[in-house]
Amino acid sequence: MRLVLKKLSEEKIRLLKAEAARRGLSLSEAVEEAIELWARSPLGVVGDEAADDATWEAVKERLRREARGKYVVIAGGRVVGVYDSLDEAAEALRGLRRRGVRRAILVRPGVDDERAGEAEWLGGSMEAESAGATSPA
Amino acid sequence: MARGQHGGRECWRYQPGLRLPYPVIRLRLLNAALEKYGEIPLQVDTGYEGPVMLPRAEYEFFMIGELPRGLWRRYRTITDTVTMRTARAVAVIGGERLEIYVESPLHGGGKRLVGREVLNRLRLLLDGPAGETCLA
Repeated sequence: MRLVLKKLSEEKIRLLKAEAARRGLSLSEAVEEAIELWARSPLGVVGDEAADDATWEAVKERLRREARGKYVVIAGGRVVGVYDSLDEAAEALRGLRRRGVRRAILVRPGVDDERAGEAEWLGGSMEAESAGATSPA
Repeated sequence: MARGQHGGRECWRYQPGLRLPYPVIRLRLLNAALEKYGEIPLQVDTGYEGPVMLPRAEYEFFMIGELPRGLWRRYRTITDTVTMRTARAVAVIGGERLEIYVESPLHGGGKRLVGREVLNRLRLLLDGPAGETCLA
C-alpha cells in the first residue's frame, strides 16, 4: 500500500536511505524491518518510554508541590494515577501489566529527586560489560 | 549456596572469587508491581554507593516501575562515568521488607552487586576466617 509521510527530519531520511543501501534493501523493505524491530523490542516501544519521560518532565514541578512523597504512575505518555502507598501503586502497575505494558514509570516526587545525580563506584569498571546472569533460586 | 543459622543469625557462605572468596548476601526481590522475582545471591561491594545492581536481562523484570531517565544516577568509576537505569523494587531479608532501588548500566551488561545504599540499612558481620556473612 502507498503511504505518504510529512515532516520527517532530513537527517532521519538520510540515515534510513544510507542504512537501506548498506543492507541492500528498498526503502519500503527497510521501513517494514524497522517497524518489526520496534514492535518486537524486548524493552518495549521506545516511543512510549520517551513519551513517559517527557510527561514526567512536563508535570514534575507541579507534582513536587502537590504530591510530594506520593507514588506517581506514568504510562502511555500520561499520568495514570497518584497513590498514597506502594501497595496501591503496585495494584495499578499490575493492571497495566495485564494490558501488556512492560515498562512504566513509578516515581516519588521530592524523594527520588534527592538521590539523583552523581555517585561513586570505587573499582567499578567495564567488567560490567561481560558479567553474566543466572536464574533466581 | 550454603546457608545456615548460627545462634539465631542468618548466614551465607562466601563464594569463590578469582583468587580470594568474596562475601555475599541473599535478598528476595519483588518488582514495583510486587511480583516475585526470587531469591538471589549478591556480591557485597562496599565501593558501590548504589543499592542493588543487576545484569540487564534480570533488570528488565523491574522495568514496570522505573524511574524517569532524568533521575537515573551517574557513577564515577576508576575509568569512566557509568549511567544506571533505575527501578523501584522491594527486598525481603531477615523477615524485613525494604523498599529499595535496583540499577543496571544503560550501556553494558551489569552484574549482581549489593552496594552501600542497602548495606548501610543492615547489620552485617563479615566473618572472613569463617568464610561467611551473617545478618546480626
